[in-house]
Amino acid sequence: MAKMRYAEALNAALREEMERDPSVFLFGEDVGRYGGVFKVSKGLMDEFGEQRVRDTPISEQALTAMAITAAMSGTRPVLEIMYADFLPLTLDALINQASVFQYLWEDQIDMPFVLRTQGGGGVGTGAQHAKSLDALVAHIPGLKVVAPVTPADAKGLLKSAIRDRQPVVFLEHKLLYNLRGDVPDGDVLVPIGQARIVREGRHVTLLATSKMVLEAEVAAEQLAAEGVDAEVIDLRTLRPLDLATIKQSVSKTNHVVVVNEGWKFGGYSAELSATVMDHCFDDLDAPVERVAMPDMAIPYSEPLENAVLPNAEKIVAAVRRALA
Amino acid sequence: MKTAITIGAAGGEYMESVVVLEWAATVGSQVKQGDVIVTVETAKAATDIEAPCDGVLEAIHAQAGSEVPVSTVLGLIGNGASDLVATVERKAGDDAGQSAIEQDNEAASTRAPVTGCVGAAVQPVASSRRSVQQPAATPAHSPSGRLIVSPAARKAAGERGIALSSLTPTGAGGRIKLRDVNDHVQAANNGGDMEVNPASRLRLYAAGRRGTPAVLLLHGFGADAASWFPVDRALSGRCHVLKMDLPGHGKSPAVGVDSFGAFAASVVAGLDDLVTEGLADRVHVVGHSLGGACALAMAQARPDRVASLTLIAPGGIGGPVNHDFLVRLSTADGVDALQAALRMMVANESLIGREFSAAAMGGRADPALRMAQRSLVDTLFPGGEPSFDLRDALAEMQVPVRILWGREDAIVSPEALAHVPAHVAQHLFPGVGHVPQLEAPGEVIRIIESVVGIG
Repeated sequence: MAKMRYAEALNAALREEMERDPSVFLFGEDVGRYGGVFKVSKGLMDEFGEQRVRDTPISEQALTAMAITAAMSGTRPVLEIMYADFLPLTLDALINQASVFQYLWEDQIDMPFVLRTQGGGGVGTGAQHAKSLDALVAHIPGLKVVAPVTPADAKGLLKSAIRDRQPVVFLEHKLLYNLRGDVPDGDVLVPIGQARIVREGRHVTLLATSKMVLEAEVAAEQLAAEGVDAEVIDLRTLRPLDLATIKQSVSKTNHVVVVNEGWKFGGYSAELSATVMDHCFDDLDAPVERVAMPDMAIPYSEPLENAVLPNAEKIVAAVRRALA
Repeated sequence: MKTAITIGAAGGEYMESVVVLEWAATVGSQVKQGDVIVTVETAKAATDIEAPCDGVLEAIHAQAGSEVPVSTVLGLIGNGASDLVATVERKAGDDAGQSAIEQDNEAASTRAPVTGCVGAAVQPVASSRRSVQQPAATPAHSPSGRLIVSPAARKAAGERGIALSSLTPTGAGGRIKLRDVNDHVQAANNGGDMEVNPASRLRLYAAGRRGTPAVLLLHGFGADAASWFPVDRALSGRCHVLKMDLPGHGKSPAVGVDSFGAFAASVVAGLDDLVTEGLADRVHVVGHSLGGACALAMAQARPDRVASLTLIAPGGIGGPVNHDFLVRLSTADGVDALQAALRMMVANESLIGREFSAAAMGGRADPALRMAQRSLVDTLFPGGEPSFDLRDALAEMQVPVRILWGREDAIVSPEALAHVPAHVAQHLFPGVGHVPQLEAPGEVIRIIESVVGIG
């Protein structure tokens, strides 16, 4: 067990997978010489050479198409898209190629690539660099979507993603990279599709994703002081969902608050809410509460941005509504 | 016209409740008189209940798996068409005093008019086993008129056969939540089983939810807190039901009660204990017979704690008490003797069956308790004359007071009603003896609910 930062955990996962499997290679904007804008690929070009860590021009659309053809050709590419805000540029390749080729060729091909990106607000990066577009990618059948929040899960899930035979969108958060945590030594994988119960509780289930898990934990602490026992679940994988864990929790607590940093309307929180309704309706003792980003552009002004971002305080209020 | 499916005599006289095991017919299906229509579990044995008439099974009120009081209407048989007229039909030659109640689907116990369909044969509720299901509550409705109930609460209530309308909503906007179902179940299961043994040494019981109106039930001479069934259970859905065993009764010892004053003081101390225990602040007191006398004394001693009085055939407001009855009741040392004494209380003796008497005798098995009660007769009612007079107390009472009395009461004559002050409301029950809560529970429950303000 070693203490490391989230970015270092990702770096370790990349290094270990590249050492293990020579077909794994990295490419993207500034991932090579610069080591990635968040230093996730720091040192890897020196270690593995320019063939396996490639700097590219700015063209997310072309990069994603390249990842697809490289994956189909027998390699395991890891593509970094610098900001989740640029995901729309990748969507044609994801929706019309990556997600359907295995189906069109009757499963005769593998599509083993990872698209890493990072989203989220909280540091004044404005309307074009702070979004959480989880719903855009989670909407697409044929893609897996993961969003680890701890360094241990970052490492374990990235290793699983690289080894998967389907395309995996790997969602990071810019405010998580410096988070330190224990990471198991060695080749420890975290399976895709398995949620993590962060904190057990009896009264309400908080289903949270990415950095919102940390906000949910803070909220749970506050609620505990009021005698409310909140169960915090870090979904870790946005698709496919760990329904069993969700159902088990809701059958115990009968109350659900979903927390996601994306927009509310048609957002990932909407999907979660509907899923709970689909599978747990008779267990619900109150409408599912949603804590999400209001349907608006994210303000550049930090006070304004903080006012609209979902946070612990808003989660506490939602829990109170659910339990009323 | 709808005919109620009831457990009737099959339940045994003193069965409090039965478990519905299985329905042999589904709603909407044709049934023939005498067909087995539902199977219930009574005293650990499965008992088949037959359809009382030909018709269509129109409603199932008690789902399989639910536990219901014996007096519950399990379901309704009709002609398949809607009919909202509530009628009571007394079956000729039914020596068990059992009658079929025909009634509106929903509001069995809230529908006031009871109109006869067979002329003079209509009997007041005294001779019928009325449903004691609770009247419709007032939870919130959606704009389309649907009750606002959480899915979990709806499912839990359905599984337990609990009418949603009997639940008290505590959720935001009047929503019925799972906790309301659980509270209801707990209240029903408790039936007063939460016992408190505080300083007064009286045995106290609480059921239902705190925060709802508190009703304190005081039983009569020779009885105990358990005798309030089914009134206590019906009220516990929407009230905080408090009961006590009077001194020298049930599980409460007779401590130094050498006068009515001492007896009443002990009962007042019981109220003080309920307050100390945080179980009550201000209570609606319902007292039967000797308990009615105690209720008056309590209101006099603790005017701030008593919100209203409902006195059922109360002692001490004029006229003697049947001394022969008191002696026979307190000294009965076997089921037969007790049954004979208990039958003096009611107009319809078939209500006091052998099982009822055997169960009652079970609560009086201790000879010391019987001796104490025999001694109480001489203390409280020497020669049948009450040793106390509460007429002045009644006249000066500031809180709402109602007196309920059976016209056929052979223990304490209802003639005393002629002299009570005008501010006291009177309810006279035709065809009922000394125990209206046993003989006409639906009516008594309704009156208590209206006094408490939840009717």
